[in-house]
Amino acid sequence: MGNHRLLPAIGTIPLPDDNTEKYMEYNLKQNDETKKILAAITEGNTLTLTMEEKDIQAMVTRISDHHIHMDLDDGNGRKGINVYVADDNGKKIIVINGMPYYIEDDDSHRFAKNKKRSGANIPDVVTPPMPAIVISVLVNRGDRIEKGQKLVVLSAMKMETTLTAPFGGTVTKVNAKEGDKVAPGDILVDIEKEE
Amino acid sequence: MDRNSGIMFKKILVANRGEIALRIMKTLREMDISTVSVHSDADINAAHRLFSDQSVYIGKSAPKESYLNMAAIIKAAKETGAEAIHPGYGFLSENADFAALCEKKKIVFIGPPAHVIKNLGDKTIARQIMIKSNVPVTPGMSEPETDISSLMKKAEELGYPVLIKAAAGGGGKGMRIVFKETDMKDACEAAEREASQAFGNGSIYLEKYLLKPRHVEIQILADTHGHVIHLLERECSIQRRYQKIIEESPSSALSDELRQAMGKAAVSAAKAAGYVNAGTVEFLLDMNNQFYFLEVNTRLQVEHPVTEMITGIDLVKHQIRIAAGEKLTLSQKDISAKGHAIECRIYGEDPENAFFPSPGKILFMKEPKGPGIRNDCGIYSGYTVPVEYDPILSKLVVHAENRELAIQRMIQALKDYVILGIKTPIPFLIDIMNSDAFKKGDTTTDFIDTHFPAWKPDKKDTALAYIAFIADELSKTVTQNPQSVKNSDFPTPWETIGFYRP
Repeated sequence: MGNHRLLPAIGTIPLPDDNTEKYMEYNLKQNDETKKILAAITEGNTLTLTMEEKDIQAMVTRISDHHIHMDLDDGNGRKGINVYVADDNGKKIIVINGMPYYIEDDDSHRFAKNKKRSGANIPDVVTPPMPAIVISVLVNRGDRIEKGQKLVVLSAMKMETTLTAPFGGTVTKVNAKEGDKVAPGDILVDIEKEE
Repeated sequence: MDRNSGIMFKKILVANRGEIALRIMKTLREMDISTVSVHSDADINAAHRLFSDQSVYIGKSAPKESYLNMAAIIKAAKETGAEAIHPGYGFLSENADFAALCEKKKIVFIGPPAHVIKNLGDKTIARQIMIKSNVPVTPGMSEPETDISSLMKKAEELGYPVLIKAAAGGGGKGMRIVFKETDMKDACEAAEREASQAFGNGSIYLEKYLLKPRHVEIQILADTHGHVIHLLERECSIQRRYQKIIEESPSSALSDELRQAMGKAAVSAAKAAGYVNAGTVEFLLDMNNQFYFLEVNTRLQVEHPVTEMITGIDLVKHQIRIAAGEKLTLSQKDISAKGHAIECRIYGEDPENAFFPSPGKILFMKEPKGPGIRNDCGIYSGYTVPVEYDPILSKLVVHAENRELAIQRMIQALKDYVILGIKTPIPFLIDIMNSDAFKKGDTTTDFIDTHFPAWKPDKKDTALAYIAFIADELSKTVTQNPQSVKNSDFPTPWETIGFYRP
């Protein structure tokens, strides 16, 4: 090791400079479940992980930006798998055997949450669930509306969907018109909630 | 233009986009025919534009201004000197006015003559033709209707559930199933709007909705010399939102006898309609093995690859030869099936969320490879799937000795297919392939509602995904910050490569 280690395979994990075991704590979240995992780089390209009181060793070879090969050893034999990874909107998409996993770092999630108190993740707004085109706007400024009332008809990839009022109230502003391209997070209709 | 010369085309324009435009151009390349593609604003970076020998800009992103813009497409063909236009599926492929315009402008339309498209494209007239030639049809209307109260009355007569269909329709666009009277008005309006957007014609009609039918269709080829053959069946029962997602051939429901009978009915239907070129006669097969004419699709079908796999015949090649006036070189006795083929349509949509469209940027993709695997694909790593068009990304097709082996091959191919950045039904398709119902061949059009009503993925490898997360975080710092890895006497490529990002 150290100065005399063999030339590693392309993109293997570097040994920390001081060559000591460094544990890192990760709190990783999928949907609403968070798991604590301890990780240490124990050899040039090997990770030792502790998850739910189980130790797993993973020999990691990075093949490309989005492709990692892992040789796993959980004490019951070795198994090689290919995983495919991309960063997307603060999460990592990880595909294993055709199944996508959307995983985020819970620590950074908390941070992001504090910074951004309003916006797309709050259900009480009228925003498209995916990028779409506005087909028609069914309400005008000043309209009194009821909960569930149809507000905006959208089309994405030729499929129609209708956004409805999350609560009753008065329309204070309409921010979209026919033909507009809209995306998740865009508030299409502002509603003053009825007390 | 009438061609009986049999002289092959030198240049053909493909009036379509995505995977089908690519698939057609691949055969054109094999035939040594130059390829012209067309593209809209949204498709400047689309794979079909990049693949073609020449590409012509035909308008803004909205389909009406580009891929449905007849004048612009004709102009593109004239300017580039293309002698023929292949319309693919969707868009103008079943538009009789477009076929007629091509004839008028002396450009060969690769498909049936305009009047045949017109007759068969109007699903109500098609029903009348079939009734006359003794092909059985489902109970329903033989005239389109726009008046809501008349439609309500007719629905009452047929008895709910009824199926609203677009007279100009296909591919499930403008189609709605209605179980009760109170839903009828909204459903008709939505169907009209969808049909008008997809086909430029909002006419709708009603058919009795058959319970638990199978969707079985027969591929036909007809030349300009009166020769018609069929190329066996495709079973396309597994659908979501009335659009097929899995197709296979042979159908596990057909006996040889029934196959012969349906093939014969399809050939007589084609002859009765004066059909020319490749087409598909669709039937519904009920629980008692009675079959009913559904419609004729006067174009190359999305699912044509399963037929190509089991028969070994390139349908596009025959379409082009027929359009050039050549005689069909195949006769009925040349057609036989070898093994079993399955196709899974890979849409950009979220199977966990009612198959909602999921357009966006593909951050990375890797196609499956191996014996008996074919992927007709219109996307690539870095490509942004636009919101304006049909969400089909690719069609994954496998061929194996028998159905059981084809299923196993499909499962492995799906597991080996990586698309990062947008949602796809790949995990859902894997679960269907693994299900007992599919393995038994218990495939009816209500398959998904019956067997997968509220599908949720089984994320059984979450622990591995966590490991992968950490592995990615820790090994990525090397590629992003090569300055931090000055700890080796032997510089690795990562240390010398700088900030290069593949």
